Amino acid sequence: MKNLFRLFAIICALVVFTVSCASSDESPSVVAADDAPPLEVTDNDNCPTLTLATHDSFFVSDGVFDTFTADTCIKVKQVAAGDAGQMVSAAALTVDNPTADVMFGIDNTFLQRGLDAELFQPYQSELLSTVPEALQLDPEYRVTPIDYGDVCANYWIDALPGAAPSTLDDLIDPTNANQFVTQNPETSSPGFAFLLATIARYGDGWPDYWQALVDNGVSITAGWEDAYYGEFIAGGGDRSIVMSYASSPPAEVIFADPPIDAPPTGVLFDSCFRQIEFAGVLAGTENPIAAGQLIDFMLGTTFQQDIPLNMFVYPANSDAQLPETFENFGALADEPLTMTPAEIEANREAWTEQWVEIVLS
Amino acid sequence: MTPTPAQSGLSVDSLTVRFDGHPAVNTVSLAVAEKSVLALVGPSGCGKSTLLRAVAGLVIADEGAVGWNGADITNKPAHQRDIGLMFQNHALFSHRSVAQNIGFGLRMRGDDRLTIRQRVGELLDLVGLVGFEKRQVQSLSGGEAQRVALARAVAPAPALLLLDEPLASLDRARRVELNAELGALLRTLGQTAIYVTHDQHEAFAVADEVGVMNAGCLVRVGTPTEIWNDPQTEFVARFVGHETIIDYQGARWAVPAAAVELVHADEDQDDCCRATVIECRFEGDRCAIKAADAQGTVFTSFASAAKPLGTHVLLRLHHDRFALIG
Amino acid sequence: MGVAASALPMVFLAVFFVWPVANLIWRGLGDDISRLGEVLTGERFLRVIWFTLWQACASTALTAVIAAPLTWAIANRRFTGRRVARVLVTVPFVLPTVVVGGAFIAVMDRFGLNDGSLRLRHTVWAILIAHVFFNVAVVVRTVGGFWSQLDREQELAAQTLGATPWQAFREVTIPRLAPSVWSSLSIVFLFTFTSFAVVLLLGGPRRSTIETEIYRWAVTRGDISTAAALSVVQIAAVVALVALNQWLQGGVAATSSLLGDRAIAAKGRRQRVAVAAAVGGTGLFLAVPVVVLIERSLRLGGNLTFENYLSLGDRVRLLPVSALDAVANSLLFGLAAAGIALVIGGMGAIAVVHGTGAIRHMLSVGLLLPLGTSAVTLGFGVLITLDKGWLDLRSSWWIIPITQGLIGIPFVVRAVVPVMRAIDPSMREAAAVLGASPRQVRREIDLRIGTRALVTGVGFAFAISLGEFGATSFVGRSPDQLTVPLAIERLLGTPGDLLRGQAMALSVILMVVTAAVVLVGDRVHPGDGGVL
Repeated sequence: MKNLFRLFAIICALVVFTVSCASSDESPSVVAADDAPPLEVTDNDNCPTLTLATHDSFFVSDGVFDTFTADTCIKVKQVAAGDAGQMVSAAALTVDNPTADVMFGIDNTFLQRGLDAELFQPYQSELLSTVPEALQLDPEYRVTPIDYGDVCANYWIDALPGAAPSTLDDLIDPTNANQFVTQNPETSSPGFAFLLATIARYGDGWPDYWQALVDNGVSITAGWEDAYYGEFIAGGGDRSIVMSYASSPPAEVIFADPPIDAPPTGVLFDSCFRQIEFAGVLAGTENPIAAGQLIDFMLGTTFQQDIPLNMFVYPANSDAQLPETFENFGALADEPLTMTPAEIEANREAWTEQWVEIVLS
Repeated sequence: MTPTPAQSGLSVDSLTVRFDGHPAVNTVSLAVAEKSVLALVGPSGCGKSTLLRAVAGLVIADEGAVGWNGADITNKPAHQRDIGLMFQNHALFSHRSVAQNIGFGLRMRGDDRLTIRQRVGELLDLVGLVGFEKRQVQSLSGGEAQRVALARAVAPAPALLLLDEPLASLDRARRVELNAELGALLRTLGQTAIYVTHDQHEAFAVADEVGVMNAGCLVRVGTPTEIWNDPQTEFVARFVGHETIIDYQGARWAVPAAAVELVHADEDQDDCCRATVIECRFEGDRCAIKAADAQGTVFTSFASAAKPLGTHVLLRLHHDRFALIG
Repeated sequence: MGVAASALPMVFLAVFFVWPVANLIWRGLGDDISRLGEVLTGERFLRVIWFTLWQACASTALTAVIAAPLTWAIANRRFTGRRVARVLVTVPFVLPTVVVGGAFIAVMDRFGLNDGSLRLRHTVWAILIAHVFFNVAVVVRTVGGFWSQLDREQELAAQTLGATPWQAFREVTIPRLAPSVWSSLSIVFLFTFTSFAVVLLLGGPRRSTIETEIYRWAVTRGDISTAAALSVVQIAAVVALVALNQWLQGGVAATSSLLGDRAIAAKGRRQRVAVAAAVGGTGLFLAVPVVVLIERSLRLGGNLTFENYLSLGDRVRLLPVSALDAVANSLLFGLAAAGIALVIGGMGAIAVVHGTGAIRHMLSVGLLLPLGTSAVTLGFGVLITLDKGWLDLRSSWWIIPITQGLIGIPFVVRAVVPVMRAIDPSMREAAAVLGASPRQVRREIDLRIGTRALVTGVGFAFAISLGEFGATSFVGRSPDQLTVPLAIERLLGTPGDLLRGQAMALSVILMVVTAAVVLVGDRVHPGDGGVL
């Protein structure tokens, strides 16, 4: 036993060493620029603490919520668990005894499920006036739009066999045979968005379009990573068109080393499906007023302007300023394809089953 | 066989142990007085090891009782009995050194390190293995392992020490030598002990009393001299080494080799019988000779020199040395 | 005996596994049991169930075959690099599937296996090969450790009776190895039975297992009834197979004396060639993806550089803490999970070896179940069950090591039990007559002799925790509790060379940390005089 204790002592030492190494590194970071100065946060026990449930892809810059706490004395505790689907399903299971006060990150493809499960209680933010009408999908104000972005096909400019694709129909053109890779709508959020895009565009004719894609050699992966990094040129693959996001080109520029002036990829705007992310006050919260204040904060310019470079989506508040890279390379479709949450939820199972029949059988 | 109520020492009362319904030990009663050594002998499978394990508390008795100094310990777990056991295969802890093996029992009862180290040193001295503390038990020879096992068993100075065929794994010469050492050691320590063996010579050499077991039953208990001179049953007589059983004057007698004399041809031959040598076993300083008489009865005797098979010899039987077995 | 030791594992299992899972199944099927019937008769479901069983059996068998030569060499022969080989086999075990998948695809590309007739990508073979890659360590370390301690006298005895070395191996060695072979293979089976990312990433979109279906129904479609029905099928299959395994093992005589490391130096040309072939063959298979990964971690913008490593201390946008903080988090969680697996698994092993009747069987099967249960079922079960009073662990960080510990416990139990069963019973009796109480006997004999196996099992539990993604992702975490696999997933979720480079570097760090911990563990010896 003595030796076991010794082993654990060594591991403990290793942990302490790593932790101290990690935390002693206080040199200004090259990659993450934390612009927000540290704020004096008054510690007041009477201030409520709100729990904010998010999906795993939620990021804000350090100290952003400190501004909120400094203004309102409300503290924010973030809890992330899984992707948006996991988050909404988990919330639906715990609707009687919710784990949080506010939820962020439910998008228009899952919205109806959340509304049907009666996850939210209404809150109408005054800042909604700054948000374009097209983003406000719930007339009862149970959820508030926070950000949006487009799921679009990207192409590697230097690797295309022909001219850059400009319409959905270009993807079934023989010139682009064996060039396109997208994701399984049953396991991937962009994959599902693209299926919805084709249904929004072609209506009842969508199965024919997919049959044509199959005939033209479309490749299907389980998730975004193995499409973008596995089969797309970016990761050493041999396909030049991939289902990704309109914000992928700016990310390619921001996270390039050595720096580059222009992204190597372009966006096929005709294929874009609009994804909108919402926040909502969870039914049963003990602090509905504070929860409303948090929604207001998330719609305010401080938070909104922090969104693009952390989550690579666009702020819902039209007063928010965009970072330079987004102004230069980021783009949104002028007329993105859309569909109502109710229609999506009502047909999800039937459409995906039919898709499996056409594409995978 | 009536149970002997013992005020001091071990008492076993009508003990029965069954395996799958079959009694391995069958209503055995015995007593071992303090500071005395009882040897249990018997053929393989007679139940002597099981009896020992029941006394140690390693097997649960189906019936009967075990007592120590008048107190009933039948239901006491092994580790609370203060009884030591030296295993047939030694059961040394392969993952520990010699010193750790010997000191184990002392550590279990909470002795401090210094006391343990001192005591281990004493015991290694006692068994003649000074300096073996750090040795791994797997590197020990059979004799060394046996000594370590003995030292380990006696280290906590148990009230009763049980030895289960302790010399079984040794060669004959070592066995005789260690058997004598062991007997002397037990007496020096004043150790109450039960010594299980299948070899009657070993038993006679170490024991104050010998118990003979057969098929789960204790068939005879007595001092070595009593058993040798008065085996009482044919089984005991044969087991202690009386090979010849004869009917004489309406009774059955065991004829030990000492009662059979080889007579030289020139001696008075009136009371002798004629026999033919059928086996001659050379034992170094003497020969064990088996000779058959006209009726086919085989007698054993000793001669100073070998005799060829088929030689006719004269045997004189000393009737006063016969043992009556009823 | 063993009652005291079984109490804690029983309570732990009941509270953190049985109750949550049963609760979720009740929630899904309580009102409408008919869904279970539909699942059991639906053609698509039956195909999924069949494929799940089939691929798990094939993966397990293939793992046994591929691991065999290396297991033999490590158990029987001393050679340069033996200890290193024993450590390095564990490395694949912790690698995130996303990363391994990427490395495999790169290797396939290099050998032209992605297109044409030799295409591996999105085939069953890709799944099987990846499963073997992940699980070779389980067989090599569990069986190899046991084998190296078996005494060789019986094989030699068989050979003096006229058996050829092969006959001696078949007639004498294999029956004695059986308990540990069964143990490790049952772990491999459960691991592959519930494999998630490998099936999705490498198997392609056409293949689904019970595990991926549960995720699809519960998460994508929000249909808890069907997910619960599938969970029932999954658990029933696991219980049946584990019980069958147990029953098959029941006939095997388990006791055989375990001695110290009995490996001997390889002598002569033939033996040296055999060892080199065994180590080299399996080693190459394991090493190629790892080497590709290391090479990728050193590339940035087409150049060879250490920049990916040097930048790990800096916080990248997209990560709430720096990558090094994630390493520290993972180590902390891993330590806690390993501690839980050590205590619960160690006591569980004792209870399985010494317990009687029902408790023994319940623990023997029950402690394996978490490994064979869907992360979704367990994750959602915890969410709806442990939600009241002091048991409200839904947003406590403890739930992360507890969940990971549950998955690690089977590795401990399965490594330790065969060794404890092989302990010569007279050693325990000797301890008892020397005054050791039953509890002291467990500690001084069983745990001491089982230490090496215990360390092996705890090492796996630690590695599992470091690499675990599925179950962890269901647990609510504050952003600064980011673990390495989550960080890698996140870095690979946005385009950009810098992010990808860091993800690769982080994977390499994960391997190095695992190798270091396993190396330290391998140096632990029970008792100063012991060599076991």
